[in-house]
Amino acid sequence: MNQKKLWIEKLQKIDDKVLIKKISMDYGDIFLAYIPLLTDRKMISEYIIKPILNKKSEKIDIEKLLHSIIYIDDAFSDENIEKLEEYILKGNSIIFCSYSKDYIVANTKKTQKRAVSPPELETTLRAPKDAFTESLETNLSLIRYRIKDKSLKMDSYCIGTRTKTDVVMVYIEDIVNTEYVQEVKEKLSKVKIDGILESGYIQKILLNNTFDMFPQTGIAERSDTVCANILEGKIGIFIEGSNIALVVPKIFIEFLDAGEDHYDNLYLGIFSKFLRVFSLFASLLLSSLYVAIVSFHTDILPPQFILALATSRIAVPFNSIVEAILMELIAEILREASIRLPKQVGPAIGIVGAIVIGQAAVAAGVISPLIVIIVSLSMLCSFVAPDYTIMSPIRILKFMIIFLTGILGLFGLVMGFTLIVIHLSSLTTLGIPYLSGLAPLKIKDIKHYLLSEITLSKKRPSFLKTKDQVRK
Amino acid sequence: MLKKAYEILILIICSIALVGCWDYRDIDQKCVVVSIGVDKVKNMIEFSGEVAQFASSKEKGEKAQVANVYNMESLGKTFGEARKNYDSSNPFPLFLGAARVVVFGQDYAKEGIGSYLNRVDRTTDYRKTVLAVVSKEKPSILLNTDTQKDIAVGFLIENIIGYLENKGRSIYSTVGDLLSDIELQQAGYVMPYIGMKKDNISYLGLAVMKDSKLIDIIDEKNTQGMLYLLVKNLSSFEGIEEIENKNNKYSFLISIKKRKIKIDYEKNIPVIYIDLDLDAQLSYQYYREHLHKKNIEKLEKEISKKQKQKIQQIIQKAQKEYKCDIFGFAEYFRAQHIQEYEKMKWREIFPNSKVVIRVNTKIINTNLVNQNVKEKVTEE
Amino acid sequence: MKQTLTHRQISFIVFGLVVGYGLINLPQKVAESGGTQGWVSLVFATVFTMFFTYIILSLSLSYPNQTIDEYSKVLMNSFFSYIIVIFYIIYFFISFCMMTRITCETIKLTILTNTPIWVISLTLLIVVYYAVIHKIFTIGRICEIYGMMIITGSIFLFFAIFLEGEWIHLLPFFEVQQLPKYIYNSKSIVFSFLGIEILTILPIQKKDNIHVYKYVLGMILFIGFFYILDVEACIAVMGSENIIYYHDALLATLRRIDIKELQFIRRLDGIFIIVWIMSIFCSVLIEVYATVHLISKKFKNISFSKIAVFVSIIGFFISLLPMTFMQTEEILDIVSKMGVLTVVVFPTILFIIEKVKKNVKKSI
Repeated sequence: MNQKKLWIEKLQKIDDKVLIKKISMDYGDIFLAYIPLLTDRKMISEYIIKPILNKKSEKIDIEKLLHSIIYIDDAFSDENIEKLEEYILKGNSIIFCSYSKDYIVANTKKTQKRAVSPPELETTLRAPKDAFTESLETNLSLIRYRIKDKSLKMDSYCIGTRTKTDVVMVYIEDIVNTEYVQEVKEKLSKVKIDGILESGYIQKILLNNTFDMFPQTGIAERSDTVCANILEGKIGIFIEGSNIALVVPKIFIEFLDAGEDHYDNLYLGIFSKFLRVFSLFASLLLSSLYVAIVSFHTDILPPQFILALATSRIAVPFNSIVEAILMELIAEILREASIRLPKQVGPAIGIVGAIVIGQAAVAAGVISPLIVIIVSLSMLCSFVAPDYTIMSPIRILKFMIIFLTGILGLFGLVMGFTLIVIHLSSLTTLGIPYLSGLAPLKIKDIKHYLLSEITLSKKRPSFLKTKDQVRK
Repeated sequence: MLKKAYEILILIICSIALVGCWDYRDIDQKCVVVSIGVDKVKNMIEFSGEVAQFASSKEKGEKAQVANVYNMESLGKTFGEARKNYDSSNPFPLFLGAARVVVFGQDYAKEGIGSYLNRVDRTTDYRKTVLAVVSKEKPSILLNTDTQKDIAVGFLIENIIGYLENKGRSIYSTVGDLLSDIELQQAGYVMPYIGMKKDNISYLGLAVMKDSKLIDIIDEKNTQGMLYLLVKNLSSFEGIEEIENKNNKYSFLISIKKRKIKIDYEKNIPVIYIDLDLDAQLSYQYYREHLHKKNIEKLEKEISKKQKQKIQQIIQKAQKEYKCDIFGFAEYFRAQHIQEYEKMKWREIFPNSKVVIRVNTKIINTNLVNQNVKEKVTEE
Repeated sequence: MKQTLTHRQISFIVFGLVVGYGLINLPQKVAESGGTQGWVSLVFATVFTMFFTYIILSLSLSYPNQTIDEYSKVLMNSFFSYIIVIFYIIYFFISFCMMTRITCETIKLTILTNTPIWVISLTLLIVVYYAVIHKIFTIGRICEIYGMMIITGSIFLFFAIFLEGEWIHLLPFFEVQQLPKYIYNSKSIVFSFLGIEILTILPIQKKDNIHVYKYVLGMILFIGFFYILDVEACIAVMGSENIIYYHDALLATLRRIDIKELQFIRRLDGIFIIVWIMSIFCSVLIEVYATVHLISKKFKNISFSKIAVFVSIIGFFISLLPMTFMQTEEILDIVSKMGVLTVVVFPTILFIIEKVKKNVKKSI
């Protein structure tokens, strides 16, 4: 009897929303405790209460209850009273009776699920359209469905002292380099945080240094992307309640690699990779080059270009550096506004951007037409990367380079660029140099990267140092 | 301590940024010079030139941008002084990076253009690829002419010479080339010579320079012989030769197939061997007529002879009259006889050197005209 | 995961330091000493350099993962070792200061005519400092990336220049009877290869050492080839008589050509300025690292980044000391003579001692 009271007290302490139902039996009482908000009540009444009441007259112990009466598939018994709280907060139902030390934990979780829908971040022409949802189970089932390998491992962790979020690490045991698994495990276990709400939190935890600018974990919304990465020997990390999975380790050049490169025409893949590299540079350097050429080293242009350039700028009251920074800022504001806008008013941004800022400002002679072209080009280029996170630092660093160029011309431009190169080469992700492939240079890796053709590259990228090098 | 160091660094960078931009100057805040004229007026150096005038894009309309120029002029005892005088009447600093042509006045060229070339060489924003020409008229007048071609004089001159060079009818002498030529031991060089011809600016011939001083002008008509030796791009060369034969006249288009210059040094006398293989194409005949194989050979010989004469003439002139190697033979001599070259002065031995010229011409086609039309046809 | 320097990175570090500033003035030096045939002297200089590279490499390979500070202690008594290391520190330090100065002077004279020198050198040193504190593995990667960019950029430039040049300028190419003269001339050119002394302070792994030889000696060979291309390209455009007047030979050459077919990049000096700044950045970076590395070996209780700050600040002020361009050149001349000690004399002595010790051991 004391046991019963203790439990009831304990349960009520957790939350006053805990509902404790007493089922009176002939030989004693059975108690059922759950939080109605988290549980599927139909399930409880159909699969737990109903069968128990059917056996009202029998003497039931916990063992029998668990194995031959209740209809719940995911149920087990436990006797640790400390864990009670955790179980019940996760949406389980607890069954206990007055004459036993054990209790049964029955999974009667109810979550609001969204159906699997097409991806929004990683849109492509040709790739499977099943994107992750906020439900961890759905996401993991999507992975399991694609990789039917016995050595696919799913290690689960509970992170967040208050949110108690499930974080699952998925990898193939006999491919992945165990050092990475170890390091990720270590980092995850060290975390002290009250809550994890989105995969972005984990992403930051995995960084070496909080002030690193470039992303070191890939984000994936499509299940095929994650599967491809896991097969490559990487680790996928799923977070309960987040529809974006993480992929580690991810190095610089992989951010410019889109999934469809592997599905589509070989030559198109190579071409679009070069296009992306060019866009990356263009987005970073175009405006600065404009400033350098207009204000410092005009003589590196042919004379006809010089005259055209000077003519286009003659009525502009701003100097070129102010002009460039101003236009870049306006472009960034446009971008920011267009993300926040409801879909119905979206086209308005286009009108404002194109007509008011582009057309009217040039006509009014406030800015030169060339800078409009350059800024819009550099903005366009920044949308080319398949993984948008790589572009976010570039958007900021662009201003640094414009600034340096404004002071020191081409010299400043090169120095600014060098700063970025230094930062990039100093980064490592799980011990792999961030610029792997380029530095240290592996010509084979680069070749395979460019070809992105599964039939031509029989081996996994060497920088990953996988256990199993050969793709079989 | 390091944190503080970073703070100090950031402070320094910010202060640099605020004080900075030493070299910063937008292109529209500079006077973009299109062409420069240098001349001598009563012991004074006279600079003249065209400066691009920028209209805002609205006013510009359909007119070509290069047409909008205004002229500048300044005088001074030295280059520095002339430039200073110019600067004091100018709103913006000069920008020489877009200059297309430097025009030397005839009077100035006679006294030597070397000093100005050196000035160009050491002025940072001056391109060394700028075209240098000698003008019959005073540059200040020449650059002031209304070309009626809707294009600045500087661009006009550049385009004319550029086109002629492409056809192998003139040479495009940049300041850089001239500087290299000057360094070459005591050799002379030639430059395009331009002037007004019936109110139009046109190419008149080649100016012969010795010690960077103008000594003679070769008329355009007589330059072909010289161009056989000077033209850089052999495949672009297009010479025209009209041969009279009996009652007919044949017009040929001549191109250089091979040019070989070899210098032997025998008994203290250099012998210059010039081997020229020419290809000729019969453009048209004045009267349509059969061209027999025999005749073809005859014509080939005739062409060769004529070309040889032309070359001989000009070389003789250089040896006797100018006493100066304007063909760049010196370089061949150096390349083939470096020891002798270093010991001797090429200028002294060049006038006495023997010249052997061999010209071989082949008529390669007749411009798709069938020369073997059955005789019947003509008889009828 | 343990980070290592790959062999390619080692060779690119050597490339970064050796080429550096020299890219711009080498044609002038070579043409001055040997005219159109100067390239032959370059070949001899390359061979000569390869020999000493071999000595330094084999020395550091017999002490894997150690630098001169450590193995000189093993080979000599600690007093001499101390002196040698101090000498290396002074050498690297002064050459870094003077290199900074002459670079900034050249930048000022060619592209930023109104900017004060201290701003240019301060900017350069801040960036260099930021790289140095990340230590050798990062520096290796930077040198690798920049090395590749420099090589592609300059080879593109060289070929562009060759297209505009004239074959006749390059002649005479070679004369057998002049051979002794060529060898004699290579004496002054060999200074352009200074920089291989950096191998004494790079930790080199023991495993597959044939590869190290292959990469580093191959890189020296490549540098020789690269230099020859550089010199011949400039002579092809300017002529050997003309080029000797230009300290900025390559830039002057590029200002003389204009390739119409390339449209808006037909004037190539913009590309060259970028490439050249990258290459001087690499060489200054490596020199600063060498100084800081050796000092930190001597003062083990001061952190690496503090020494880096200290060296950069002192270096900045010392680089401002010479009054004129000419003075800087004179000091650089002296420094390059010191370089002979660091490249030839000390390694050879250490090498001989090492061989003798080995033989003694064997005989026992």
